[in-house]
Amino acid sequence: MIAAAAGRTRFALRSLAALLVVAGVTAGCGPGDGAGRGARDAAEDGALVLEVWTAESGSRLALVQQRAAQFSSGHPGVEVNLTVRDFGSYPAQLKLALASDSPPDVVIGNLGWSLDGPLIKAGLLRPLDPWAERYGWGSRFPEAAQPQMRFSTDGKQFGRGPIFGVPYAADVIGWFYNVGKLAALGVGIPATLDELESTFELAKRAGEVPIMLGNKAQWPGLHLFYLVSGNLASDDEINGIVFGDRTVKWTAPGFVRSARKLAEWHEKAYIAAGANGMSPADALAKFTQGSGVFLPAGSWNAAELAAAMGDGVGFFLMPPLRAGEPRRATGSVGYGWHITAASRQPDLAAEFIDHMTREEFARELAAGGDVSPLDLGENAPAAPSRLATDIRNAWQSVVSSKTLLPYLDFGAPNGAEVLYPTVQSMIAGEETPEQGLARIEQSREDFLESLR
Amino acid sequence: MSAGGRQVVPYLYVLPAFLFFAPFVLVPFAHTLGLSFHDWDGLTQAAFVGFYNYREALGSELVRSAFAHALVLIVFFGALPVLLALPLAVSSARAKVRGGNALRTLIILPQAISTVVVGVSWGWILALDGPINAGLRAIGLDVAAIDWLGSFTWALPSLGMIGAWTLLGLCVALFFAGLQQIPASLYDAAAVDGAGRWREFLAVTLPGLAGPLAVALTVTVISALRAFDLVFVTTRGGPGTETVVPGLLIYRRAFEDGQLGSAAAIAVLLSVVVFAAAWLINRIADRRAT
Repeated sequence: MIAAAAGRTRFALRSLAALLVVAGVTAGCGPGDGAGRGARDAAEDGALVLEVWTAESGSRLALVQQRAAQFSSGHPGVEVNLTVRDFGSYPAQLKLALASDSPPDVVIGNLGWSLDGPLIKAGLLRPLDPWAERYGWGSRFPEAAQPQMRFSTDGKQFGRGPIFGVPYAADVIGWFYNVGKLAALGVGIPATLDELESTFELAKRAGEVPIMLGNKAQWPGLHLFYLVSGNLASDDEINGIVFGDRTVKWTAPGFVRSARKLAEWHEKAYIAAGANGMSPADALAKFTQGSGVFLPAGSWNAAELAAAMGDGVGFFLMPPLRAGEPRRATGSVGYGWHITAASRQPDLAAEFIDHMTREEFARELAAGGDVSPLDLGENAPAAPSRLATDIRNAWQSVVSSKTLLPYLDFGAPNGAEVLYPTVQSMIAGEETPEQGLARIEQSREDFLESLR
Repeated sequence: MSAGGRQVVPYLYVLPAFLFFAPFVLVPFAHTLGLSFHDWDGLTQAAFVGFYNYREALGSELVRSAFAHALVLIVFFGALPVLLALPLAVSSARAKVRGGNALRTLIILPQAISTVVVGVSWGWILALDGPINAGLRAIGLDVAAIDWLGSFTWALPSLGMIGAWTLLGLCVALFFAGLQQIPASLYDAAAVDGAGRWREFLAVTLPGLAGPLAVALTVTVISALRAFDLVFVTTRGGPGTETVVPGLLIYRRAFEDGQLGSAAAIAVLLSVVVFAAAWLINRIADRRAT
């Protein structure tokens, strides 16, 4: 019966894809035949095969591959078969694979409603409690990150319930800065929001682009929003939106102030001209070529920036409203590994996940300049660059001061259609914060209503 | 018996084509139609919701604006190339200039380039520091140098111009081929009757091109309505929602947001509009031709 339902799912998705082709909507990214192999219990030679899906790339993928190979060699008779899909089309492909006749055993998800929510609601992922207890996953990660790993078993409540995913690589959003340009302006790293804004003004007067931003993809605007809302909105407002508290609304004063602040930065021409027509990758490239004093972005860009700019680039978290207050920042312990409900070897899958999220993995990750969600303490390897050191310190500061905030777009799956474009409109002043936020809230309420 | 045979035989001729057409077009279409009456995330059990998805789509400001954007694109993808291609084809068919064939090949070249390449290239050309703005600044029009694809005002017309550029060559080629089919005797007769260039164009050329015109308009209008790849590559629907088109919404709702019923309903609405447009164009062309 499960097979029949899965067959229907695939058929329907392909039918829709076929109609898109009929209507001429050639996406070039319809459902691929990614669901091919699936969880075989035993290969021809009798070896156990663990089917694992990931959307990693670059150095993180290399590390995942290396650790997976280690797992295989440590377990004679076990073969780990990694399926890698590109990040953009991963959610669509993963859904197809999980609904197929031969789903994988272990998969990467993504936090909140961006991917995990729909999968858990459909009963495709397992609660990991028995293994979390065995391997100590519940206490392995910082307290601030605990809600991000959890979901109610009916998949309707993000942030509460059993552990569903085990993360391995953290991220935090802040300001990359051009060390030489900031020095030339004669100022240091801003200690308050006011200081940051006066640095923007200084940069503008000096003929520099204060904020380099590539917002063609529309989500980078929301990342800029996070930097502001982290200080202008309260914990309750932010957590309420993310974890489905119906008494909290996007029209709350903190978010209105945040949107107004960004519109003001746009008005004062602090944000790069042409940002809306520029891809995030182009903005990053321009920043490395010396255009822009600040680049608001996630820590995952560090490796590329350090490779291009060496010690000429640094990172700091959004400065607080009043000097001396702890810095607050949006970030996460990263998306997690999950065990699929259909896996017939969950114990082996759990052992694999533990292997992929232990301190050994964290050390290698940190040695490469990436951020681990684990507190490595004395065992932390030296950071490979000035930038990696900045980011590590930034991460540790939000973990120790418990000021890590969740991503607002985890709260509802309306990012691409409503949230990102509306934030872009509000920044450009095409829409007032009140109008834009009311529409974002409406779409969130529609979604929350659909969960009832 | 012969009467019965006459009824069956023609269907036997179309049977092979139908056997191919049915599973790949009709069945998926029927399935999408069915899906459009359901609320379904692609993973859990689908629930029948009647016309809810249609009511939601027609009531949604975003969906309505997507169709409105598609209508704007029809002007750029359809009307503009056709209006430009007519004089180009007529004059190049008239004037037996050397290199005429090479010119026609050049004009149709954009049609041979993948839309993704077209989108990426034009994205670069239209960028704030791209060649078009560099040209504007060079002639002192600094104020006219803008971020074309990132502008809330100019993004949709810019997309339209890219589409017009791609489809112009196709229209020229169609019209040029059509002009070869018009008997020279008709032009002779027009000349004998004392018709000038304009009169000749209206009385001979235009009616003779009714067929190619219908084909050109059908192809260009449908490509405007179904625009997806160009939008996906160049603007992703932005800035804001200024360039959101139905195809983009279908893709997002089906493959990103897990709203397959809603995506199917928009797809059905889009198909209806496409069929209606194709029917209307061909009906007008048939009238003209007779």
